[in-house]
Amino acid sequence: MKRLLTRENIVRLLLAAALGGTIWKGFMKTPEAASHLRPDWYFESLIGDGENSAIMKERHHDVLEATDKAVRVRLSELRAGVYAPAPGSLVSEESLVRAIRKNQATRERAVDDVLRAEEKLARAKNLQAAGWRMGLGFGPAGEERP
Amino acid sequence: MSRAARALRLGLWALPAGFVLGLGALVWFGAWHYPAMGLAGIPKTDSRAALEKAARGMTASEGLVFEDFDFAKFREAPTARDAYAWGAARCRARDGSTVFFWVYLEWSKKRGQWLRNYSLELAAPDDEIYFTRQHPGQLARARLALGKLLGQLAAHIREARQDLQRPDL
Repeated sequence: MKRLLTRENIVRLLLAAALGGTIWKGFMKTPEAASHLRPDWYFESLIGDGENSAIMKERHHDVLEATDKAVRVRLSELRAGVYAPAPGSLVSEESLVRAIRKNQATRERAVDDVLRAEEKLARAKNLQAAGWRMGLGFGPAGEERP
Repeated sequence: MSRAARALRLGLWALPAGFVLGLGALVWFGAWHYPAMGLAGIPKTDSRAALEKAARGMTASEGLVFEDFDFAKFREAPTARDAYAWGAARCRARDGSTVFFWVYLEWSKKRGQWLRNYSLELAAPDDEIYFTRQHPGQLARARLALGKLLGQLAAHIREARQDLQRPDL
């Protein structure tokens, strides 16, 4: 009779267990499984992520506004003769004016990012309030039309 | 084995060991020690005190005099329970010009205290906001970025040393 408890078989068993555990954990994180089997956890993570990203987008907007102010103050102090760039520095009146213009576009985008993050958070809260669950069948392809 | 061969073997072991120890020390300092330095005991609700303590140390290590916060914010995620504090500190440089310093802290749920996060001088002369397509060239950019990273590390080490000398700072 062949021995069952060999070193190879133990390794095979451990590998299978690890693979099974990974598949199970991944499956329990899909919206299909999580929204049906543990909706509290699902919506808590969805809303928690939404809150953290909304705060992050606000912070990114703030750092751009603060950078803009720093550049403008530096430009005015350069013109007033308070600030003098070191020889070979990247900072000059032209580069400061250019930096303000470049930052303008980034700041406009950041305003939009803040709004989108807030919308996404509101959407997650609405889904929770409506008791939404991920559909298990095949949904209609493309955009739904009334 | 001859003495020369033994010395060679020892040297070959000491080289990677020293490298690993040095890397470990860098990670310990950057990821564990420096972020927390002097911020233990400040409650989550008193983010202003934590921001001010961090700002004073950071700006002093860069040779700046901290004046006040241009603005400071505290935000807490109600469901995720993560908390953040950030602000722009107005400082005076040695030549009398104004410098704004970005200070960003995160509340660590694991360690139960405020931790310093990525903070830097805003619109510093080596900031990428001054970069344009051709100027400076790729190599000069890489050198500036590396210089900025090493400069920040040096400032953090200076801050840790002045924190040892003046714990009241």
